[in-house]
Amino acid sequence: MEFFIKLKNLDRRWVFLFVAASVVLPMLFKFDFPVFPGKSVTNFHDFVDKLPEGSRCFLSFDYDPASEPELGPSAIAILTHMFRKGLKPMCGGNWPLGGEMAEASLAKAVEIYTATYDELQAAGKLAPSCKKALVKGDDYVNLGYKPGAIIHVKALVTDFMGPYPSDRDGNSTKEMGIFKNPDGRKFAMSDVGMIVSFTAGTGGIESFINVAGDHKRPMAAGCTSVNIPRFITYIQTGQLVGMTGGLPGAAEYEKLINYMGKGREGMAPQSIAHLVIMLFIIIGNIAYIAEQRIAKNKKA
Amino acid sequence: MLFIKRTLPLIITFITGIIMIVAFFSGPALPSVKALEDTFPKWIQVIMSFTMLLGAFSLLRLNLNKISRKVEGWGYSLTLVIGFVTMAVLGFMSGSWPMFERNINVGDKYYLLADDSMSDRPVTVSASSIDEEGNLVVDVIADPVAGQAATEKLVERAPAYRLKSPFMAWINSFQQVLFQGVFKAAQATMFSLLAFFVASASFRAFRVKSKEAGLLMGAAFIVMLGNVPIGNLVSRLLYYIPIIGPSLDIALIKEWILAYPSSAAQSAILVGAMLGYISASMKIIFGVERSHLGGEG
Repeated sequence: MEFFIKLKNLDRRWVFLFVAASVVLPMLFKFDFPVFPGKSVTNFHDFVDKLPEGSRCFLSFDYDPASEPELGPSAIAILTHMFRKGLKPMCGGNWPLGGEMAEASLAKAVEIYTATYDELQAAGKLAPSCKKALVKGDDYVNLGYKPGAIIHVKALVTDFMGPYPSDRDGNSTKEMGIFKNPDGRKFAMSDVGMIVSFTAGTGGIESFINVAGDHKRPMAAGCTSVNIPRFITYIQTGQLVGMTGGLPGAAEYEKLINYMGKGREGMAPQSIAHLVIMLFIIIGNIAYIAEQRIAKNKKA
Repeated sequence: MLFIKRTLPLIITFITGIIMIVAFFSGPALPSVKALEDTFPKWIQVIMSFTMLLGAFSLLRLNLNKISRKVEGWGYSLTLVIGFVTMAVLGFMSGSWPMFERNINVGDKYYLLADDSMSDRPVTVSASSIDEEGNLVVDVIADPVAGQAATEKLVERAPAYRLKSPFMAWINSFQQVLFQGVFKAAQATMFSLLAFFVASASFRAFRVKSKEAGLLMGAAFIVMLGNVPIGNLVSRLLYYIPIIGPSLDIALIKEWILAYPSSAAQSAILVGAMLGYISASMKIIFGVERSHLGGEG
């Protein structure tokens, strides 16, 4: 009893030390936990898988560096999958640093795609139109940040090219192959195969959902773990085809595309850290019960 | 003055709000109103760009005032102003360098920006030409890297806008060091620290003092376990419990909790929030709520 009472008053620095150790040790010793993809991630993956080759997908990077460790791996895995399926990602951002986040994820996804191209091509796992060297402007584009969130999405519905006369680097989008339609028609929101938003808070996927009646495009999301309960509602209502939630969502998507990335690497530290936090909650409660009993006995 | 400060914004708000409502419900029946609804987003985007500028200047003015009056904690304000000005200047310079470096001289040394726009490498321009689309393209030869044996000189074609002078390359690198090395790392660190505070706070405050708290803790444990792969290992262990074991799949229970009880509560919150949103909007449109005009409730 006394031991638990003492534990209750444990210096919080010990708690910090245990949490740090639970994160660092699995990273150092490379524990590996099996990852089993859940329903919403599998649905997301399958939807991307079935999109017709050459489909252009709009990916909105609605987060900043604070959420990059959680959302970056998701974005990289989804972009890599899209490249392997011959899809053409068009990246934008409703958050000021969205363009930077997109640039980093695109660079990494292109690197993974190029590095695994020969092996996957030999195994026949790439879409027929896939070529080794991806060209910016033809196979993908980073359109950068635009202010307005929902207003910006509304503007895209009216005239997609209007808010994007140039990409993030200042290159004119008029000449870009990615925006060219075979029938010469101006690129419009209706040409977008699907919309994906990597959302860390407000101004993300909800900006697209709120005007879904106007754009009528299928949507999916990547969100931080704390936002899962908030956005899972849209999975249940069928407004989102799928969702990757936090680092576990990224790990599940990586598993589906057979890639060992930051998501899967992060599962061991996250698993142990969750266990440690649970352990502390249990210890805290045992101490609380012990304290209650002592108080009761004293009264009696 | 009162008219410009209060009455005119109220009139603009009222007319704009009514147009948006009418446009939403009329659909294509009123094409002129619908056209206005399509134009408004562009106006709002322009206004929002200016508000960002206004916000930036306001932040700067506030902190400069604090520094000049040397109020308590003025050192933080000084750090903010230095960081603000440095990032703004470097950002503007590195973001707009293609506008200033249009003249490419053959034989000169430049830095070729990589596709990720973050890294670059030294090159020498061997030729320049205009491509089929009328853009200036250059042939470049990679400069040998110090300490490495000179290999065959490969000529590479690149768009001229990706070339930078040594000075602009330095500006770009410095900006990237500050962004990647300081800003990005600092933000990620701040967010990561939450794990430590969550652990400490839950240890001290998460007590099962009632049935509801017990239910909350049970749900929290299932979601925490089900959200990470270790939950699958726990499920495998639970499988050996007679009768109920096979149905104790932590990941599935977690998905059920999130998809039904949690989602139902969330939907109710969303509906409530949206009703509040409509009510607040109506109050602003009809001028009942005027705090946005300067603090009057």
